[in-house]
Amino acid sequence: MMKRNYIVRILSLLCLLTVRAAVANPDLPENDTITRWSLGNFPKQAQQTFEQLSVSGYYRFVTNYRHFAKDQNGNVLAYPHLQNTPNNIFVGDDSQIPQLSMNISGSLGKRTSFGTDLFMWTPMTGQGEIENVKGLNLGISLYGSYSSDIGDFNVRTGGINWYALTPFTFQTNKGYDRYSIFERNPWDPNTRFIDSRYATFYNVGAINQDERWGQQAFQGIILEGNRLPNDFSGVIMYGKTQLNGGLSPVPNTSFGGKIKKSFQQDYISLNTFNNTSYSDSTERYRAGFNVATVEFKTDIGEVTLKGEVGVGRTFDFNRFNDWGELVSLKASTRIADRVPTELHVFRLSPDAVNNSAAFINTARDLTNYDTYSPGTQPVLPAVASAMVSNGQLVNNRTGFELNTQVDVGPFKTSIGYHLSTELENLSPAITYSHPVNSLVLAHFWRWAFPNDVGPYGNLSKIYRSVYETLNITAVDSISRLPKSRKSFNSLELNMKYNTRLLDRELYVFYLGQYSSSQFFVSPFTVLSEKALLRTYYHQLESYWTISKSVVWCNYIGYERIIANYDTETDVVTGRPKNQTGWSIATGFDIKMSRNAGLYLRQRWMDYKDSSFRNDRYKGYESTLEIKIFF
Amino acid sequence: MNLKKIIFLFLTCCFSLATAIAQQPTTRKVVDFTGGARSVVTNNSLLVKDTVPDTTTVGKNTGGYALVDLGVNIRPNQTTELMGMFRIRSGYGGFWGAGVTFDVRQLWLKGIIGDIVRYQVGDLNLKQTPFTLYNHRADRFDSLPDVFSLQSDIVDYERFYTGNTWRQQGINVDFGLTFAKGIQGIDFTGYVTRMNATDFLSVPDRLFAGFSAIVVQQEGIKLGYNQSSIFDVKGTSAESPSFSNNVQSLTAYFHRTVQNLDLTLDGEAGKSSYADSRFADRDPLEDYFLYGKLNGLWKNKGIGFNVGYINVGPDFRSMGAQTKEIDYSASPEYFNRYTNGQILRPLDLTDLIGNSNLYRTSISDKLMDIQPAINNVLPYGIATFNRLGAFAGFNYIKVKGLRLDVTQYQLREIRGQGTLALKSFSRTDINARFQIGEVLEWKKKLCVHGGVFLQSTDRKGDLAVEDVSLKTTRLQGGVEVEISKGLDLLGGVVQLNSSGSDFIADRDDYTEIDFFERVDYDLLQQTFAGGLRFRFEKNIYICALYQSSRYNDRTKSMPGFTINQFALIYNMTF
Repeated sequence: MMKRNYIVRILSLLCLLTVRAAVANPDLPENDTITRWSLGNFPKQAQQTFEQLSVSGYYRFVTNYRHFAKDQNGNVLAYPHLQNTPNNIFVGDDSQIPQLSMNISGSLGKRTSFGTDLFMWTPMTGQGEIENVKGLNLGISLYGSYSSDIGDFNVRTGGINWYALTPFTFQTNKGYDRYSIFERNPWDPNTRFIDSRYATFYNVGAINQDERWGQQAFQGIILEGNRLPNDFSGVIMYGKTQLNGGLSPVPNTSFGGKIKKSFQQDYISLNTFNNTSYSDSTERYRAGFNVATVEFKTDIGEVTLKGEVGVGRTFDFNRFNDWGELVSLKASTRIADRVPTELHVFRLSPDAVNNSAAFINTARDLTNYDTYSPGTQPVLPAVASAMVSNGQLVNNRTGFELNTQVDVGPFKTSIGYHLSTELENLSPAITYSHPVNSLVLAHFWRWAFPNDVGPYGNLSKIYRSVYETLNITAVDSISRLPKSRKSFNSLELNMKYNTRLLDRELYVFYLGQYSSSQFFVSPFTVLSEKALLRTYYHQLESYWTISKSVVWCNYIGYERIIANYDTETDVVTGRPKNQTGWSIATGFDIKMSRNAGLYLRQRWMDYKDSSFRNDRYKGYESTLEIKIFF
Repeated sequence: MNLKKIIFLFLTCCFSLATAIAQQPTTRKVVDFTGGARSVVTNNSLLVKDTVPDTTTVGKNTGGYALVDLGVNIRPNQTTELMGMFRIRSGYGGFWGAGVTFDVRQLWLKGIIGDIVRYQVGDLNLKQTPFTLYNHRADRFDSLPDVFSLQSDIVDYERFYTGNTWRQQGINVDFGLTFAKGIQGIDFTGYVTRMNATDFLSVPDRLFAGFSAIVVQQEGIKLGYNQSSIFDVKGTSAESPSFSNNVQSLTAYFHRTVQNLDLTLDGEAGKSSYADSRFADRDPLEDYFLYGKLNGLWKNKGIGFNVGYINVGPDFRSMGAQTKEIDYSASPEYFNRYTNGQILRPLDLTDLIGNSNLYRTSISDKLMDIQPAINNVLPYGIATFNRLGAFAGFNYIKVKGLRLDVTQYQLREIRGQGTLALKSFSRTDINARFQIGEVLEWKKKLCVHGGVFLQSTDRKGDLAVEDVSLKTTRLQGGVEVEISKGLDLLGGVVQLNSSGSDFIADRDDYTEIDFFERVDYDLLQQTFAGGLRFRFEKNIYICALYQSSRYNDRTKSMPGFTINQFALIYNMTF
């Protein structure tokens, strides 16, 4: 009865209104204030709005079709876990790059803003909505800036924020721009001219990289101070990195910073980066690392000296290990010179560990109770002694590199020489990569980043690549360590040639890498069986601009990897690794419209280890990519 | 939230943006974006003070999040407005999309029908009168120093506490009538909201509806009739339990200025009924209330006063006004358990000030638990049942920058609880805020704040077991110093001391007492906080905050503990 009365009263009043009522407030919502209403729905005023909101991003559709061939006996030429699926269709990119990515940024004031990214991805499995994926790739960041008489201050919180301090504290390796550009990276942009990617690589030595190049992902707070008194500047950062983080409430915190004093073009800075976590479940024992360095740059005549010198250490179960040195000194002539040359001397102690730095840890395991929490990557153990490209530093290593570029007519040749040796004899294994078919090989394991997989359990997948571990058998029977420290040699050659063919631009690039590792120091790459491991990589590629909208791309790759009898041998053949890989590929870059590109690639691959029978694959992979920026 | 909704929202957003751009030549914007963003990182540690050292509890943790509230405000025409706001939240430490959640934070439509009726459908923030629908914020420490309000403001934002409103979902209608002579006008407001949906078996749809009609006789005289009802909709479930809670009230407001004295008389009187068919053997609970308050203010002297009378019957039930904002049965955000026995950790001041998970947005249809150590005098605000008495207050705002508020409540029970003896209640609130910077005409801000809040509950009976005596003292102080333009140094302390004993009523689902549980208190809680805050804009700030909170139960029924917290907060919310 009560409810009925109530409804009747409301309806009666509504009826009355149609004949008697006055205007309540027609100018909604700009003048959304009813002063005499002290009850009802709130707020009475219109909400404040953003000063600005923008949406940008890209759509990237990529799909692969892979097929493995069969031998004369009808056996599929593929790794065992792919034997039953010689054909594979995959829609999308399992390297964490979605189909649709939208960057949303807004500002609530003149000095503050926020940004986030939203991705959507449909794997096109036929299941429709239930399989669609959405999420954030980089998360949510908040920015603020403030200018005052004593300096300009910027703050970033949330994350992921891409940031870099110095190579030994917080940075990723930038390298010497010697790589194949036949395969497109997910972050590669569409360029105004269809061949700009190749022209830039020829002219400048690097393709257009996105903002993350050389930077590390960081979550937390970053406070920058610039234009401080007496030409000082500085950074403080506190939060989590992708290898020392995760959603777990267990404290796993990284913090660092930099104080920099500038002298016009020269500078000197004090830098540090540290991580603290716990090595037990009750958080009684701390684990982590500390790094502190000095970085400088100065010009002396025609020579630029740049370097970073510091120390690093690890600690575990509240026990602090010894400090180890970190030295990287570069002397270079100016890039404008006819033959710009850089000498790089380095020495990285095995005691210095920082898995957020530009060098790889091959020496000390970092124990961490919370390693396997969701959202982090459990890659804290030290990797084996690595054969890496020039410029990529690893700890437990000392040596030098010489890099130069010689330009003769249309030929531009970049040459790199590397000689290094281990400081301590710590690892009975060597790791190396397979660059000729690296992306295709990474596709053998989708979504995950497994370790110790493959037909012989010695392959590990990392981001868009795979590395292989070679075990050394010439070891001490008790310590299980090699009889001697290992040395590493490498020679890299990147030749670039530009001409016009049928009045169209043609770019030809050759990349050769010849490396070895052995128990003795050698001035050059060892080409004999004295080397524990020899790797020879050849990649030749060409890009011909056949019209304003089309580039024809071609690629030939060849790799030879040979180990000696001081390394593991196959139980059947009794021989060490003897690997040969071929890859022939072609493709087209097609500009569909402004900001929209179609990219086709067809790669035939043939790989075989003549000693390890199951290490064999042969087939092809076709790739179609559509990329549109908005 | 499913993907379809998110995509729809985003497509709407993008489409609307395009529409907005296309319609730029028009004078009114069709689409606006609103919302905010926040980033919080905390580092917490727990120290347990137990007879046996606690070697089991994990004593440290980190937490935090970053979130964006993105609201699309769409105006398809001059009298219609649509708001959809979604929240994207990323847990601290989640890389590459881990720990991300998507939610719809609010969705509503409002507009005007025929230039007459203002309506809103969807999410509502409703307030009626203090005895019908009202969020009394009874246990919210609203007068805390600024260093603590950084956190409590976030709780308010998270729980949509805009003043004394409750977040509801339904429809609200406002309209007004004006008259040429006799009376100035009549303002109407009405609402229907849904408290819960049916499960088609034993739980029927439950609605909450109400309306107010305010007659404005002339400027300074208002008379109103208010009604609120919670009721079940018959036939919406297989079984047909029937619950109802109805409140009717009359409100009056008179304002007059006599020379320099502004006088305001404000009052409300009414009755309630509460019935539940599941308790067929019980009579409906019916009771009345009466509340009046006289305010005076000498504007030229800055002196004000108020006196009032409260009489709320023991069976007065108004769930819209008696729902507590804090749920004492909720868990702390971190360190839920402690000691080697891993017992549940009691809530401390840090939790109450800054943990939004403890606070609710919806109306409860049952009486919620109270916490006598926090508020035993008016645990449901002035709508607390079984209270009779008066209060008087004094305000001083004469000196520029100084504000002093003093209020004294003297109350007693109307009906004895488990005995014929009645409890008497006394509460003293003294709060002062002194803007020293303004007084000294400094360009920078310097503000000190202090407060004393005393509560006592006493009962003397014929038998010693009837005796009750509980005293709670809250002392607080704070300072805010602007050390550079926009950069503030903040500090503050809160101490809560509760000692004595009382009986807590254990109530059944019919809100009637089943049993009494005696509780002894000798509890000292202290929270110290200090921090640096930089204000970019109004409501946009970043701050580093350190807080230490101690919980010391001297009865030893709960082991003591200390929680230290370091927090970095970047807040961008309107």
